[in-house]
Amino acid sequence: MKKTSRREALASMIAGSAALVAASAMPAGTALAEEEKVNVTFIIYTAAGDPFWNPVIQGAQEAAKDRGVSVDIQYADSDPVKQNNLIETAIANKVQGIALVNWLPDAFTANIAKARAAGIAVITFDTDDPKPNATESQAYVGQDFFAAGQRIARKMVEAGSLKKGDHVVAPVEDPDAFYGTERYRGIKAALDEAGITSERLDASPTMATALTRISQYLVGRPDTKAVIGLGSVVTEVGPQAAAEANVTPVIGGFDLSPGIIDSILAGKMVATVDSGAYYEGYMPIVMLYYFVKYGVPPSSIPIGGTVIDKSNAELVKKWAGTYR
Amino acid sequence: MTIPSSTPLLALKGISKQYGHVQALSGVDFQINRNEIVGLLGDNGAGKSTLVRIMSGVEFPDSGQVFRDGQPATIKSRKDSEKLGIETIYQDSALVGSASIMRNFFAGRELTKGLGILDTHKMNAIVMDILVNMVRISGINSPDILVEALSGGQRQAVAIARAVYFKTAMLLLDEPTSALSVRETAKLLEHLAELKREGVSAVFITHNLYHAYESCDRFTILSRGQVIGSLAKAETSVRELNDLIVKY
Amino acid sequence: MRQPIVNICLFFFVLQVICIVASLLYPNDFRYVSETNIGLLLRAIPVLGIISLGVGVLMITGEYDLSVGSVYTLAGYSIALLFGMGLPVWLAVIATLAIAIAIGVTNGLITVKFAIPSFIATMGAMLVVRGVVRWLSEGRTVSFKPDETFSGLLTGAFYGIEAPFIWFIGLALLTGLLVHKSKLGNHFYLVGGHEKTAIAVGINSHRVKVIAFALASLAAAIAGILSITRVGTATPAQGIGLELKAIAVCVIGGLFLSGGRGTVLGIVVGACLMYMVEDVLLLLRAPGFYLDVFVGAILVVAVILNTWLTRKAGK
Repeated sequence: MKKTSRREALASMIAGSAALVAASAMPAGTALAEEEKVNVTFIIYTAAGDPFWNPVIQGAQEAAKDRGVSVDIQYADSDPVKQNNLIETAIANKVQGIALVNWLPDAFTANIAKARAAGIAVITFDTDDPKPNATESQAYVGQDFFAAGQRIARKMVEAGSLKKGDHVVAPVEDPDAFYGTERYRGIKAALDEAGITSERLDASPTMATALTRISQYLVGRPDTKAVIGLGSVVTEVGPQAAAEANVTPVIGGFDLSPGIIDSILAGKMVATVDSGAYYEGYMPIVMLYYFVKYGVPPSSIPIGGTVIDKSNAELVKKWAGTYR
Repeated sequence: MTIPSSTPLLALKGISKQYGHVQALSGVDFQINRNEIVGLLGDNGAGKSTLVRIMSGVEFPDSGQVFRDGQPATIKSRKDSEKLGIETIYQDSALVGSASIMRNFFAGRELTKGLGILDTHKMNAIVMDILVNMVRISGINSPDILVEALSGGQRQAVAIARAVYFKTAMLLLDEPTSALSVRETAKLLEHLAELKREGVSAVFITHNLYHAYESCDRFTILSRGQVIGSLAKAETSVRELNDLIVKY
Repeated sequence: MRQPIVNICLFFFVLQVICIVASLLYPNDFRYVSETNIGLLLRAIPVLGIISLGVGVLMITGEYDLSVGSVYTLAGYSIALLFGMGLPVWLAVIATLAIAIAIGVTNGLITVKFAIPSFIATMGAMLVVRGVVRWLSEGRTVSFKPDETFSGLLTGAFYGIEAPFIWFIGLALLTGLLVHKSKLGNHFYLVGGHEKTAIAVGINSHRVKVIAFALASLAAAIAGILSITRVGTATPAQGIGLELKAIAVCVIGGLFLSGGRGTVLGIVVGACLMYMVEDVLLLLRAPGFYLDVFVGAILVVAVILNTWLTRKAGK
């Protein structure tokens, strides 16, 4: 409960800063275009080319254009050493702001502190250290995995009319994945509240194997009332697994992929959770700009987490790859 | 075409082979005559094994000539040596332990029914016939027994049976007795004598002068890559051979 | 060396009997003999089974291929992208299989010509091919929706039996004919059993090994095509770990890591056992999140049992 109230507080803060953005946007933007630009290094943790980041980059670039920020997008190739090097280079170059994905707890804490000590603003996005206040980064913009888990679980309970004593399975691609652990924690919290039992299933990232494992699970537990995939692969194969096991649980999960959206539109899947990728890029740039220029403190924004179902899936399909 | 019986079956002239800075063989002359068992003797590192590998086509000499029945020949691969009728039995690698007797017997020379499909039935019959009627090895009642289940002597017998069947003209035996018991060695020497009666010549490489003296007709002695003597059995004794090897 | 295969077949048979009896006794708690479960098994086994056939042939020659998981993934992308470009489906199949064979031949040539362990050569190929998949896919999933005739042929059912399983058995029979009844098959065993001897009797061991590498890659590609036709989508992360699973299947089936031994029947039974273990565990409601713990433990026990029985029989 405490968590919810904090989130509400955050939401009001965002509303506040959004209002500020709206109020000062146009005149400040044009005036500053002639002035010195704010330099920001924007570090994506994977290698270049992963389409997940397309809306993120679009967001970052549009924010940079709107606000007069010079943004330098770098890729860490999923290598913590390279990411630390990139942060150090940014510090040495005396940029004014750094936005980064804190995808490995403790790995970047020291360099984030070093950047802050050098007077550089730091905001994390997409994934953050799960421990509260573990780093000196000023804010986190990304999905609250726990809250997103709760949200999809509640949606599934409602859609499938689940009741006390029912059972739900949550397959995941990789048992060690942080997103899976946190999302499941949220799902379990919501289901426990309603007296519904749940279990995770290690389904593997190989589609054919995931399909078989989920089907076998459903044959073994035909009383399973819902399947909630914790990542895109297991969510995508959910409907086919149920069909092959000859059972009809309600199906939902996380992320947007063409297959998932098609299933939702075809009525084979109830819902999925959007990760809000566009804002992951847009918001950090905006907040870094206002902090550097006017000292407005950045604040964490739990973006994404919107439930996508039949009512709004068509729009997702339309803007896939740019804004979604 | 008739070839005078005095022409050597295989003659090597002036064979040299160098490995890096080591002169393994220098100007070696060696010959195998019809119906003859030659003992190839010498201490470790004398060049015996190199000579055998050259005759069996596994290695190629730097210089020198090869004559088969007086005609110039080249041995550049195992296929070439097979064509000249040369078969080698190495001390440890004549057969594949994890494969059956039949599959070893016909290794590389399988009989097929066309399209590369094995004629297992026919090959099994041949193997049993040869093993039972010609080489007379005891204790083998099926061609499907794995070679690793056989004793050292039985393995040599299988290898020899193979040479007999494929009408080998010359059999090169590289240290065949090193892993055998006394009884098995006696049996092997018997097989050699039998082979000779079948018209197969042989080169017998060994450390054991007594075995060599007992079964060979002629001796060629190598030392540090050179031939230091070639003597007929009648002209020499075990003691003389021993002295020759030790002295050089 | 008939013993390991006899043991593993016996083990498999006993397990089947126990499962069937248990399922008949408790039809509501253990749905082993339900039409759905049998259908699932018959669809699930072929993917790993077909990969294992190729890996097994290669293992008989004494080599490994760690790149089969990547080739499996590449095959899915290759057929989907080629088909998406408007190529007729059968041409896309041929091109995909040709690409796989080329990868296998390259693996083989690198291994034999540079005389390096195939473990390393194919680990390189595993990374390179996986990288090519990332480049081709840009991290994106790809879908493959061929016409009914094609998908029916690969994933439908004939006389109530799932088509993938028929393909698996057909390919197993072909592999059996090649390995156990052909001249080339005999050379696989001899080269794997003792390469020096095989060379001494005039077998071109390099050629034999390169062919085996090509077959391993080819089998992985066939499995990849079968799998994308069934699921309709391929992801870049799929297939990771399949190479080791295939080796495990072969070892359970009585093949030796050192080469020169084993039977195709063993590979087939090994693949069936592997999936049966997972299936039975899930049907018995073992904790699905920790499934690998049980699967791993049972694999080791199966191999220990097999080795022990073989030694006992050998005495």
